[in-house]
Amino acid sequence: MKKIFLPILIGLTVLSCQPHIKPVGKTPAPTIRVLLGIISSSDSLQLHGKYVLTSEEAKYELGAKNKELVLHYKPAGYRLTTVYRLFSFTKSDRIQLQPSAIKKHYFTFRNHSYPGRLVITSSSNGLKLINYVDLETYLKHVVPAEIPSHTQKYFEALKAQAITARTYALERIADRSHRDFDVYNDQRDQVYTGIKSQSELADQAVRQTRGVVLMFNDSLAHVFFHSTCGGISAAPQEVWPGIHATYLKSKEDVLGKEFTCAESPYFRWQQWYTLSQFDSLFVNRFHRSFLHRTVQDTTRLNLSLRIADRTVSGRVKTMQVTYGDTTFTLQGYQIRSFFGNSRGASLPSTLFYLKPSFADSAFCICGGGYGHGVGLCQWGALHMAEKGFKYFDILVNKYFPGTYLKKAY
Amino acid sequence: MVRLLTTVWILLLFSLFFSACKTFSSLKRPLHSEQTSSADSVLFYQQVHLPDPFLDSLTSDRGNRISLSTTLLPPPPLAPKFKEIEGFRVQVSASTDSIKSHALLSQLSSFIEDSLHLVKENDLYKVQVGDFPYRMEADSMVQVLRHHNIHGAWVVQRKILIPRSESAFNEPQPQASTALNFSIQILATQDEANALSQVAQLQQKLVWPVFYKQIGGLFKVYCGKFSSRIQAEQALKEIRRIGLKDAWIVH
Repeated sequence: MKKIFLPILIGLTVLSCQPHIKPVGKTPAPTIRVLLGIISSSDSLQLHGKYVLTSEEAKYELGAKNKELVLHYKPAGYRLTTVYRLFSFTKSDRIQLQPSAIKKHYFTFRNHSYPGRLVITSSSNGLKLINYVDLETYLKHVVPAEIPSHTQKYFEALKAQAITARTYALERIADRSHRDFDVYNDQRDQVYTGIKSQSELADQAVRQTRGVVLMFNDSLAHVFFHSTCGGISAAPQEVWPGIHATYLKSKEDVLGKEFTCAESPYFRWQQWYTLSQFDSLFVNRFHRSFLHRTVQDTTRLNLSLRIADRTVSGRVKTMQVTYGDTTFTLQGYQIRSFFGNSRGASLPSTLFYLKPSFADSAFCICGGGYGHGVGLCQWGALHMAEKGFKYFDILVNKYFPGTYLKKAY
Repeated sequence: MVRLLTTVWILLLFSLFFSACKTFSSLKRPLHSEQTSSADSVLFYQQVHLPDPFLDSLTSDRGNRISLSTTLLPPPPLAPKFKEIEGFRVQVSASTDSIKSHALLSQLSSFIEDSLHLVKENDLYKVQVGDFPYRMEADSMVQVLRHHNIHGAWVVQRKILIPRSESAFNEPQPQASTALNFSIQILATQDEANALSQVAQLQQKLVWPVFYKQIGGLFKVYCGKFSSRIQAEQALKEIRRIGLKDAWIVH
């Protein structure tokens, strides 16, 4: 008998040491509150399927006939009108639209369709539309909006992005519990464009990593991600003073003998500015022009740009600008927004140097990378996935060394 | 039997160990690992400096500064509305009495709507009428004044102002119209011999052809033929410089 029990005992001991992912959690995922937009005057939304409008006083069924809802905001209160009904609410009223079937029904707002519940509250600057949605469902729409999900070769990068996005979202849920929403639906947090961006591969990546988050010590890791680091990542304190993470340091992002994100279209870029174009940028900020003013005598107009300080990773921290009789200093993101184009797109990154043109009639900002450069480099992750690395290699061994993976639910 | 059982157990033990190792190798990193992983322990992670011209240039001071400059010019002065040319006026009176001159001016204004001038030159108050580019227009005005019982008016040559919009006096005539309509009249005499003699003398002094024409009972001596008034004015300056102060442009 002893001869039978001994091997069984040893076998069980060995098997218990074997790492394994727990079966898909039965614990429900937390709900995240996403701010979809603020209506400052009036706007509309469309319901696809039946919804129940719940206010403090009563419940109404909408969506069968009343598909189009129009919201009018006034500081004293707001109105919700349909073809058949008119609802008036005071500024303190909070209403919600609950779908009767969660999986099938959705609503459309500003050309994007969203699943889940919609809560409408009034604030001093307009009506806030907040989407209450299951975190895993939210991630299924965030991941494809943040990273290409059209090909299987990027699948591991999708999983890495899903874990990063989940960790980020859970951190925001904890941090912003006192506020009426957890995350914005754009680059201020994570891009959430709703059902339109959903893809099968992204769904699969989210499902396979359900509940998995990045941890450091006993708490959620500070995770950040960006499009392209340009060959060197930044430490968080370079961008957000006060945020320190030992696992996020400035370092060259190298894989073998090449930069990990070298395939990105923004790995290296150039933007040229003539004095006239610079004057337009100056007008945007200071509302006056030096170039297009009337002078009484022949006048010399000088422009001088000086990079006064760089961060550890070489990104521009402070730039001093002298134009005409005005001297001003740009710092951090101000630099990117100042040199942005008329379509609202900011300068890709602050990793750049300055180059004059041949005849000194223009200057070039020669840069690398897209985004702040902290944390996960999405193009780097895509390249690693293409090379056969797994999501935990991308996250734990590459971009967040010192962290570990854990199932949060 | 015992040996067989022992062999089976040993094989079972080995297979269990083998399966465990396989799982480890496939995962590379345990998902639930509570221990922190060291970046340097991973083979693929190579913390080496990769030479790159772009990143290396960030550390040099050369790309940290640029300066551009341009020159702003004041706008050109606005074009005047009037142009000053050599022309004619009809002088009605020249006196030291300003009150009388003003009275005459108001009398003239009853039938002449504009271009009435009261100018003070050399302590004389001169009442003048019109701004005429051509002498014959001024001569016509003398007739008009006579018709209104104002006699003794005479034509004087002086700088006059004409509206810039009157294109005939502004720009050179287009190349297509090369008609030589402008000439400079130097004098008029009833004596043909005098006219001939003047022509002979002037031909020595002037570069332009000098000729005379009999018009009515007068022999008029002319100089040059010009396609534009501007050309004629330039020639007139030269002619006046050699002492022919009474020469004027005819059209």
